[in-house]
Amino acid sequence: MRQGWIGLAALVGLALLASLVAPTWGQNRGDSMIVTFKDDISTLDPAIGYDWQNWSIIKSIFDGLMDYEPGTTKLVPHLAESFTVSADGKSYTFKLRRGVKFHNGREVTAADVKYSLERTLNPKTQSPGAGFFGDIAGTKEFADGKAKEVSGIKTADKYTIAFTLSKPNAAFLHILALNFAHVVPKEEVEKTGADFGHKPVGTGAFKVKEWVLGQRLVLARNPDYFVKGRPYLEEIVFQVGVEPNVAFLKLQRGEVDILGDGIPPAEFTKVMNDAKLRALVAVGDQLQTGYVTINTQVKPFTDVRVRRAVNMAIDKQRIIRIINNRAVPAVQVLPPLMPGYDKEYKGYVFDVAQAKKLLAEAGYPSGFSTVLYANNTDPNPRIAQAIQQDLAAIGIKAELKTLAQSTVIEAGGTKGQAPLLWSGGMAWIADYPDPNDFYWPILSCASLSPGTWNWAWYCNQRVEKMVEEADALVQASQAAAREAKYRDIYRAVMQDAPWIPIFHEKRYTMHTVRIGGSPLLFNDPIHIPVHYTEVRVVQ
Amino acid sequence: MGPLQHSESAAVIVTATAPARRRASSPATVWDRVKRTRAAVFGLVVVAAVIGGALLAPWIAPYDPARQFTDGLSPEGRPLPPSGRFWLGTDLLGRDLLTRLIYGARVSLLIGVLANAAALTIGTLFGAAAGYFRGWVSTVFMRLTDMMMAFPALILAIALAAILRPSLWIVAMVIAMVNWVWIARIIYSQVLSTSQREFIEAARALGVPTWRIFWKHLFPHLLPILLVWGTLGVSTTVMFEASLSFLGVGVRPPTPSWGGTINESQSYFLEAPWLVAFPGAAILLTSLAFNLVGDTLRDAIDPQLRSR
Amino acid sequence: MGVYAIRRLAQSVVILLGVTVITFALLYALPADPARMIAGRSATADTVARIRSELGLDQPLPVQYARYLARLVRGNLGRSYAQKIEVTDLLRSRLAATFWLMLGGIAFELLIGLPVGMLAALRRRSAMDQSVMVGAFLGVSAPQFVVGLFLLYWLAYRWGLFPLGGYGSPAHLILPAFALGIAGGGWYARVMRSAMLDVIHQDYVRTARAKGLGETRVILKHAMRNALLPVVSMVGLDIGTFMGGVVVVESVFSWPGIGQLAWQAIQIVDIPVIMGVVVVSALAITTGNLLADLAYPLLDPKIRYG
Repeated sequence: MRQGWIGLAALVGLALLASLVAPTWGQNRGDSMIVTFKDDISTLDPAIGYDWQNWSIIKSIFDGLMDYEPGTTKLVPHLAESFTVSADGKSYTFKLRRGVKFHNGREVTAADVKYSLERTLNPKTQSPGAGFFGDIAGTKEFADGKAKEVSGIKTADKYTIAFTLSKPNAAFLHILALNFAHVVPKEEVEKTGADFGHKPVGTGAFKVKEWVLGQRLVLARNPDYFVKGRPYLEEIVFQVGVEPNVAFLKLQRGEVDILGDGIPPAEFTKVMNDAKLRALVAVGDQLQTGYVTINTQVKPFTDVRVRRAVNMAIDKQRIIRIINNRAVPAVQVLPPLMPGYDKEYKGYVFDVAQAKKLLAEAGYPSGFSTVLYANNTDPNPRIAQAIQQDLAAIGIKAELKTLAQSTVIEAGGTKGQAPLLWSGGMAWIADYPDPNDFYWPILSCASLSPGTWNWAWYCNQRVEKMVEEADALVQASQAAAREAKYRDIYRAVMQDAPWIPIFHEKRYTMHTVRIGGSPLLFNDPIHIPVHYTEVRVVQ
Repeated sequence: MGPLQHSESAAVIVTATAPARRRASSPATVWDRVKRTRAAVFGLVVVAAVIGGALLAPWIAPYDPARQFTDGLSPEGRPLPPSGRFWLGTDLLGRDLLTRLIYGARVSLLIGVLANAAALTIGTLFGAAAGYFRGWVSTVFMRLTDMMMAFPALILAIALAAILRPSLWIVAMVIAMVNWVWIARIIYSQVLSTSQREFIEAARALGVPTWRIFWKHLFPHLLPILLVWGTLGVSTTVMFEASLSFLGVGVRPPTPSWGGTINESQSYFLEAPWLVAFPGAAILLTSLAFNLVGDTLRDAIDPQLRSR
Repeated sequence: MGVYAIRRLAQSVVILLGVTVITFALLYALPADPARMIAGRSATADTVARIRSELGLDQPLPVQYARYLARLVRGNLGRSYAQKIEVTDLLRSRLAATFWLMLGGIAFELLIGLPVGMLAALRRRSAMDQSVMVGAFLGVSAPQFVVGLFLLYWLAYRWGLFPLGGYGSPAHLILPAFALGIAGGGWYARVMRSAMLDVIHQDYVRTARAKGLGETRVILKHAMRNALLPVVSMVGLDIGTFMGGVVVVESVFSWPGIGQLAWQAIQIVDIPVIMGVVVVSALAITTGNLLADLAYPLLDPKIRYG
């Protein structure tokens, strides 16, 4: 019996001991901000990092020729001072800003820009972004090892760099704003080798101060940052491995400032119904569409009438209710924030009777059996089950395969395997705010091959031609004409119905009252969860 | 220290001859004892109710388990607490929780009993053989258990999920594969010590066949720990099924299971406690019931542990 | 005993080899391509192919395994596909935390399980015994995520007695270790009870009692030592499994253990990291079980190996 009491006494003793230490945890943090994430931060190498989490951290350590006005999708020169585009849209010339220094003190030159891009294009780097730059002349020869340098990238002098494209691409400036084109110092890359992603040296607003694997990453202000008065914060601490539900408790106690993974779904309605908590939430749009891909090569989805029928069968409003109304229904491919979004287009209206009629016309009056793939992380299995029930209402029996993300991606990229696939949990937000980012990687004939993300296995040569024409409209004066063309393009795509667009998710960012700045910064379409360089401590 | 004083000298009898202990456990007395214990009756009732619910689900459940009610969620998308319409409330998709629990008994009971029994059987055989025979048998068997333990079950599950058609049999197989190792280790240590005791050595010296020593002399001593493992295992196995189904090996949504319901709604338990509390109670009650029945049965069979 | 231990350690090499071969083959058979995971949404088929060949994934399985093994014997576990960092560094950064949680978890399991199980055995059929039984089943049945969040919510968030998860001081260890203890303690209590019941009826205990030894002495010195055998096996098993990582508890308490690393690696098929975790847990499991086997003769002198 004595053992029991000793155990109890020990427990009480430990608790008391712990309470003595406790008060020091919520101390005053000065001009520092704490952000929590569930997952580890992977590499900070701009040529390699490609998830929503490290994307904006990399952007605060490195810079590219182009960037966006904070909180918007408006392109502005960044490391570049100015640039010119030739009339045929095939050559771009940039003048670099002078006196910009890497964290190691050396000045940035045109040669660094060239080196950085060639590093991304070099297969040894294993960069996922190499494909974005395929329009630059000579990239293929370089990647194949037939050329020592990329012929389309030339340094005219120390501060001038010129690009020659093999075909015009209206999104080229956006592409140069991607992290994969951010500038790195050659000497540091060579010094640290494969560890560069953990000892990053750039030109950015912050530099890495401390990195304890699996626990925290600490960034410190770069006092020599070339944008005057930025950044506002002295320090950003990223705490990793923090469960969203626990992060939420920490935020309420003032122990952390930003919920990197957003408001935990379980607490969402509570937050929105509580005036005090609601005040800490910023709401905005993001460049995202949640969709079901319909494999156009798998029977009976080879018949466009069947694809249209399933488009009409889904009650999107109900699905949105399942995720606590954190989205707006989608009727088309592009999200509302994207240039080329078609306000007039109504898409396929929810109409069970019409859907049944179409199915009957296609020869399936009593429906058929098929398979729906989905990622197994909440809320995706729930959304998939709602879709499953809606399909059942028109006679389509969809077996549900909710699997690990890697397996679902593999199924989608394997020819003839996944008839229907709910993209949630994998539908990455746009790489850059241009309508062609929703076409080339996921809907084009060019991406019609195993291993890509064209999970609808969709290819319409007529549409492909239209996109090529639209992308040749590179001058600023042609922007409106290009947008109009893209509206036609995505109407044509929806005519073929390779997707069921379900919803556009809204972004809810929760932060403590200490952190302020323009409300736009908390919903920056490019920087998630917030624009680290622009936010500040207000209390 | 009451019970200790009252213990009888059955152990002495056991040392001498085994048949002596048979007398106490004729079927009539076993039944007598079971009947006399109220706890056992309660356990039996619960087990019967769960089995009955599983078998009769379509007739007794109020609704279709897959039906997502439009009025089953609040306009904000919150699940509904227990009410006159939904007795145990609704789940995150607006389905009737009571219905899903009744249907969920099918999967959970099957896995809880089947996978568990398989693990117990394999584990006992391996553990007992390794503990009794020693030498190379012990080395090979016990290193095999080491290897099985180090083996990442999660990856096996993901691979199986993608390759095979999902079914309860695969779930049972994976669970058995993972769990038998534990039982083997425990049984091994028990047998190591028990097989040194006088009555086993005596039996060996008398030339009693090995299988008989196993069955008549060794097994009764392993029974208590097997019962502990088997009954507690019901709970953990039911939860394990949920994780495996999550990875895609087991039942596919919308087929309900108790563990699955907990798994999909556990992060909501502060906001919607009924989603965790009711399936949790079902698991707890069922495994407790099995334990009550098992305990009583064991007491009845094994006179050595009986104390009145 | 020394010879036995050395032979066992030699056998663990075979185990390690076996486990790595099987895991490697299984990962290879997995219908998931690490190159595709790294390449992401917008990569062209060309980029995926280049990444695959840079990772050496286009080689036949035996070649890949031979390369892996060749590096492994030199202590090189390779580089993470996703994090581009040495797997040894990743593991090292989490080993200490994993070790402390293992110790803490087992301590709480024993602290809860042993006294409670013993009391239940001595007071068999009493109200105490019944409530211990219900408590044990409750502890074992309760989902760890719920237990963890519950403890954090009340003890840390509402009452401020403990930090809200994290790692760094002994205070951080208590809640996650306690959460492990609740689940495991139920098992230990039931096993301890059953083993005690088995032992206290045996001859030598009876003999000891007949010799007029005090009841407490009889129980502690004679009965408990033998009853501890299955408990020791369980501790050995827990050393191994806890060192392989406890995903849910680590995740709820933001504990930087090996389980979180493994879970994330499995999500993205980061093969070198997965293999690294498997190697660590294979070593831990063989060590844990070896320690248990070495402890048996100390508790029951009749047990001898060889």
